[in-house]
Amino acid sequence: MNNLDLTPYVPWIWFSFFGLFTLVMALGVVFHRKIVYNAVFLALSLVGTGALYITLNADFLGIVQILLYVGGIIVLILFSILLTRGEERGVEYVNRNKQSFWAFSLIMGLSLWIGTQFWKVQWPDANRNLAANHWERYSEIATIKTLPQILNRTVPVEAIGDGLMKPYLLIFELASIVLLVAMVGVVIYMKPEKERGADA
Amino acid sequence: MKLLEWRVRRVPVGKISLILGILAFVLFATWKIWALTGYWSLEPAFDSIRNFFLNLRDKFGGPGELPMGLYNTIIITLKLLGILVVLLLIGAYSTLMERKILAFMQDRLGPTRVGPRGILQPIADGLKLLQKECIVPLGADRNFHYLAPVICFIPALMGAVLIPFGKGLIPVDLNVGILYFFALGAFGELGIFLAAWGSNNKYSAIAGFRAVAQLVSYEIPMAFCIMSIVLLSGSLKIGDIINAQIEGATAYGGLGFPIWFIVPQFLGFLIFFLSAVAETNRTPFDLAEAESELVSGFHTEYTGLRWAFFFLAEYVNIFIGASIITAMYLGGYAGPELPFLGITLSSVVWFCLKVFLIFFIIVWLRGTLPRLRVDQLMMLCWKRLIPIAMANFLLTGIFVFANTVRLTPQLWPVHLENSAYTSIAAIVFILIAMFGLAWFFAKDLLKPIKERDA
Amino acid sequence: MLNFFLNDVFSGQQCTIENIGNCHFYGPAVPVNAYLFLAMILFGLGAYGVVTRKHLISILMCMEIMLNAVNLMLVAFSRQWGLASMRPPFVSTGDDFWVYVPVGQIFVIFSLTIAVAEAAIGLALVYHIYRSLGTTQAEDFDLLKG
Repeated sequence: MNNLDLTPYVPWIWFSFFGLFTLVMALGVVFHRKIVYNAVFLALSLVGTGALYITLNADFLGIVQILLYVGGIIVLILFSILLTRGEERGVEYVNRNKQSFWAFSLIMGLSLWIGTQFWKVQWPDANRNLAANHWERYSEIATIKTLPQILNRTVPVEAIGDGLMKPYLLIFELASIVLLVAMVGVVIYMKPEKERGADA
Repeated sequence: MKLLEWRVRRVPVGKISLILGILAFVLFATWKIWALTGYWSLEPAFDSIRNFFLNLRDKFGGPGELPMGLYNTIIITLKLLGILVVLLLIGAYSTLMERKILAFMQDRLGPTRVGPRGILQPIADGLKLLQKECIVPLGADRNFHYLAPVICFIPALMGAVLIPFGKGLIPVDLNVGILYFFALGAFGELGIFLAAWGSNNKYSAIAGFRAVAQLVSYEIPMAFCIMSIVLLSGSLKIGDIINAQIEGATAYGGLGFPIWFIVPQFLGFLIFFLSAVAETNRTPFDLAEAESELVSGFHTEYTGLRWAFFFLAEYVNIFIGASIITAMYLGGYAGPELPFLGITLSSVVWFCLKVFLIFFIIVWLRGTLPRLRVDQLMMLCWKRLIPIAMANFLLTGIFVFANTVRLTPQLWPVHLENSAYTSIAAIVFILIAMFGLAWFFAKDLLKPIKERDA
Repeated sequence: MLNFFLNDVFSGQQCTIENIGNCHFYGPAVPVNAYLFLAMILFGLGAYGVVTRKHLISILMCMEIMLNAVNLMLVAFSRQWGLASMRPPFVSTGDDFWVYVPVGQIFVIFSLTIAVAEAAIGLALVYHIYRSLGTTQAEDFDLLKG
């Protein structure tokens, strides 16, 4: 009891909790046989990732992740599961043979190896980077602070907005055009043939 | 005949009494601390917790600094417990309020038997629901059937941490603020879908389809309205949005003059109100739980405590929606100070009054309007509300730009004298122009549906 | 083992009493390497799922997991490299000041956009295939086999 102080490990505790949660749910997505369960596991895994974003001081992204994935993509996936009648009975949905074992070993071995290589990296002194010059050129900065004021705080939404609207404006617009084209394309593609011809 | 067999679980009396006992103990302890430390200030209680930790440190000779993480955690937990109790009471008693208001509108008396004028009716209802057995249909997916009420109920409670009960009484003023409510709404969709899937019932399946389509559609106009509000106030925080209405400016922006956002955002208010009613599955948008068509939809197969979870979640969601509307458009807790109450309490009273007004209008809608058809519902959202909300957003951008020009004389084309009269004239001009433009854009859309889409 | 985990990979972001108000956690932050490790495992799992699953929608879901792992990496890098020091312009004296450079998070927003478009198009394709062929099994699409 004398020297028990858990405070340095609190971030580790949260990281391990959310990381394990995300990982277990991802395992559920990959290995569970029922496809509706897969979708719900995927939703929970994405929520766990959103929580990991929040532990990385990216609150805005965490919330946007939950909003977009759980409210949008998962609902889309569930709808299409319903439309394609779920699963047919008596069909094996996961490949389980000799090849799958070797695939698992190979892929997980490779990714674990790369992960351990990441462990060994000593990143250069944090928060001093080459992008600074780039940024200096393009952005009129709204949030100017001294180091102790700014360290380890949540990244404000204004900073992301500045980035989207000033240096990355072109990419932002292009992304929106991609989204629009995708939506229009899907709507036209999903129409029955006769109606498609009538409109065009 | 096999379909008619029910799998019946016994009521876990022991578990329920254990939970109730723990709850009662926590309630009693909280009340005791509260009473011992002066009723209207919780700070001394937090000080006593802090002192407890300081004593611990002195006794065991721990590290030099206080474990602030643990200390904060305990204080936040205490606050959250208080809010939880308040919220459950609100959820229970809004049913009584609704029944009384509906009875008043239909010239009845409403519940009168339990307690004086039926005031204990919700508690009796709750006890009755506790005693009922929880039934799982035979062919149902049991995991989803168990999980669905929980997934519906927990986000409804989580939304409570952002409700601005009064001045300085926002439990946790997150910096993502209002987006948080949307994230929770997404969980509500998931819960309804799971309930529909896990019931093994065609009515529930139809209700699930309808509910998910409706909720996904009505989130879009809501998001546009919220973006307009964020443009006006310059911040996502609830506290900042309310401050922008009371003081006219925050650290990040604001209009420069105090005004409730219902005035420059009247269209937005209407759209947001309708969407909020649709998001909480209330009449006239209650297609997902239509009693007369779908036998109350996605919770047809639910009984007992699980059904109570859905029920409570719905009413808590109504309360949260009314609170968001109040905070965004009606100035939150703003209002003149009442005699004998002090600033904090009078702000709480004003907040409650406004929330009750919104709740009353929602119940009024239920008492008055019939249910929409599915195609009418979708048409209203995609062909009316979304275009109007987008136009409203565009106009708000123009308005904010004009207001920024008004506030910075360097940008003026002709230099005018910066007196109060010019300022007021400019504001009035901007407001009138905005309403005119809004009307120009919206008048075609506001026509009756038959006339335009025949 | 613990030594391995608590190596000197800590890179110094300490939350102190002064800035506790805006901190999520009190104490030194988890190093970025841990997040990268987790993201690699997630990516591998997703890749394995894409290779072995047979249902088309399952394959799409596993692809979402892979995308998500990449996004996690981007956010982690954004925390590690997300601050930049600047000299005040036109002034020779004075301290450096610090600004947020959340490039990683901005990229994640673009990535999310692409993920949404991918999910919509992919599911539309799946539904179209289901309507024309009556199946959603990946191994049943052998029209080109002859």
